[in-house]
Amino acid sequence: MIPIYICDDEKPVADRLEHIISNQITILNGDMGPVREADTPERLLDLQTKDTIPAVYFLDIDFPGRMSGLELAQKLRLHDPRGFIVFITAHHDLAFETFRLRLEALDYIVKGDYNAMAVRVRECLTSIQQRLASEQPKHGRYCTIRLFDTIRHIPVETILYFEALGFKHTLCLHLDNELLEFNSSLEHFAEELGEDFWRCHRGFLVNRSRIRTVDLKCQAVILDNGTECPLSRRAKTEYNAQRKRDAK
Amino acid sequence: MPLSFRLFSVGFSLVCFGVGLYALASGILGKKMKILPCLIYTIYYLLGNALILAGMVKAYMQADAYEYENVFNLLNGTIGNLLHSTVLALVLRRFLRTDFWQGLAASFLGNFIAYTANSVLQEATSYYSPIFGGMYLYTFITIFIPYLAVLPIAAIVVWILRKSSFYRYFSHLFSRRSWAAGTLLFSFLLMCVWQVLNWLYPDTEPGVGYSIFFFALIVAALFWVQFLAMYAAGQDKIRAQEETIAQNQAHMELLEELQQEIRAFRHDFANLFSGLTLQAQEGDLAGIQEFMRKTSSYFDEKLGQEIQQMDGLNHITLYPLRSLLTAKLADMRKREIHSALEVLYPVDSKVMMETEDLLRSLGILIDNAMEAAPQMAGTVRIVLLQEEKELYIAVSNNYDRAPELSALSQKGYTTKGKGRGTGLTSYRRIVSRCKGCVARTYLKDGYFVQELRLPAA
Repeated sequence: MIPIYICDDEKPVADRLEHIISNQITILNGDMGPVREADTPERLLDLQTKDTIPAVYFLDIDFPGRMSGLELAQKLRLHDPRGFIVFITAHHDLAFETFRLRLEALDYIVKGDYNAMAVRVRECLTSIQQRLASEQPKHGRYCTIRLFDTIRHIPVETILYFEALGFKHTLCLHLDNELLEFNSSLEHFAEELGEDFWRCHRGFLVNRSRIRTVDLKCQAVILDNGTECPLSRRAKTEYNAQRKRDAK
Repeated sequence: MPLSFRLFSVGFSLVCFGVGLYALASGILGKKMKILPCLIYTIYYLLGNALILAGMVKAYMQADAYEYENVFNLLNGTIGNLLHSTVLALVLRRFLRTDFWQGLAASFLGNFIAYTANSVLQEATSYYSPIFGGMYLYTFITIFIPYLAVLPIAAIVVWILRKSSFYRYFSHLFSRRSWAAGTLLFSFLLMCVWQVLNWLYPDTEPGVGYSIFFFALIVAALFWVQFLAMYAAGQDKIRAQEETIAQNQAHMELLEELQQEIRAFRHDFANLFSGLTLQAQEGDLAGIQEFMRKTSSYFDEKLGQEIQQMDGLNHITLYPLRSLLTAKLADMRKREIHSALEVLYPVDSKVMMETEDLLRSLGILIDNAMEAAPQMAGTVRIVLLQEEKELYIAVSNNYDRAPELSALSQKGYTTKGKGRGTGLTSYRRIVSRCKGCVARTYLKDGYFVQELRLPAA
């Protein structure tokens, strides 16, 4: 079961939303609930730790005199990095792009007309259901990367390779559909990830499970998405020796 | 005379000269005198010159090399001084955080002023001093006074330079690479002029005319530098003003557009309301509710974007950044690319990146997004979010054909044919130069997103 939280300091809005969500859950017959209300951000942060994650959060954009919705969402994310956040707002001109990119917020709902809200809630819940279904339980390993105050867990199977960029220990991490550049060293990851990764070149650390072929003639390692990484002379001799040992 | 006295006078003259050089260079750069770097440089100057002198003396003693004295002096005056000036520039950079090349040029100029003052006085004193019986008095007058006089002269020059805030013009001379090179060359030549003259005409008799000529040369050179610097400053000012005008124009265009839309909106609204009034008269409550539902988002849809953009721009206090964004937004409007700018909180300039680098990298990101957005219904969204510990920047665009991320990291990648993909390469260089920066590139919900996170200073 995926818990659902509503945090709005206006009691009527929260109650109405609670009503809509409960109805929609029954209609969708999803694996969601229970629906809990919190009237202050602090209370929600407290509630969050008492149940499972990931969870769904419907948050007001602003709590006058308290923290902003943005701050609250950032705090929620610390505990639940993969939860679903939906904002409730009174205006259309909400800076949603900021929330969508920075907090990976799912959507926003405009307060007001009951039916319009119901349609929007339904869309949100369906989309959450789909996302949960497509996300197979990841039993694989995770690679942890610390960026500023947050720690990102990246499933190892999505990693193609690490590349050292040469200036002051900058690494570029190549993932499926993502590039990430940050300060770290190849040695650190070579040690952390161990045998599953291969240092095929001084500046490259390749995920072994993503290698399609090793092209000895062209001195290149070809990955399953067609990318080529250079193969150093040393790694080549290492590779040949390994093959000979395996043949015996 | 005993050797110790000779050594002492040489040391004394070197110390005076070293302090004078440091004072002049820091004065030209408009920095405060600091004791520690001054001490370090003076000690270096003393030891370095002592070594050179010792080497020369040894060379004279071993080989009968007196005939090469002029060449020695020339080498010492050019290459030796170049070395000393480089060290001074490094000291200034380390302790006063000045630019290396500015420091070098300032050292050259300082060298020229100190050397001119010193040698003119030296010539004058040795020429005009009465013949004393005692050698001590003679050395005192011909060596101690000229070298000691370097200090008050340096103090006066520094005072004048400070009063005229010379350093401001001086730093303007380094705003362009060609000018900086010219200034460096010119000051180096000024520094060498004495040595070359001595080498060419070793036996010139010093006289009043001679010294007047050289003082005139100092004054002329300083005037020339000052004039050039003022010219450069004027040019910069004109450029800054032009930029401001362009920015204001873009802002005006935005306002005009907003006004146009408000007029259209007012027209619409008058029509809608007359309909509403009719419905109200008839007591058609359901109709009114329907109307409210339809029009509640009308205003936001019509004017939301422009108002949000202006709010966003007003939140940026870093003026050049605001100017860049205004220009880019205006450009996008011209090219009919739908744009959105979201700046929720005031953005201050305190990030761990030079403003110039920040502007360049943001400019590259926006340009890339504009180029990659489709011709029809292209959208570019820019997000700046100031947080406690970082500045979060994201530029996203939609696309016709999904860009290949694996190819993106390759040098010179571009979707627009050969020779165009240099932007991303220099963006990567800037990012990797900035410590603690995180750059992320990914695809999300049909948008190509480029994120840059800069740690707050």
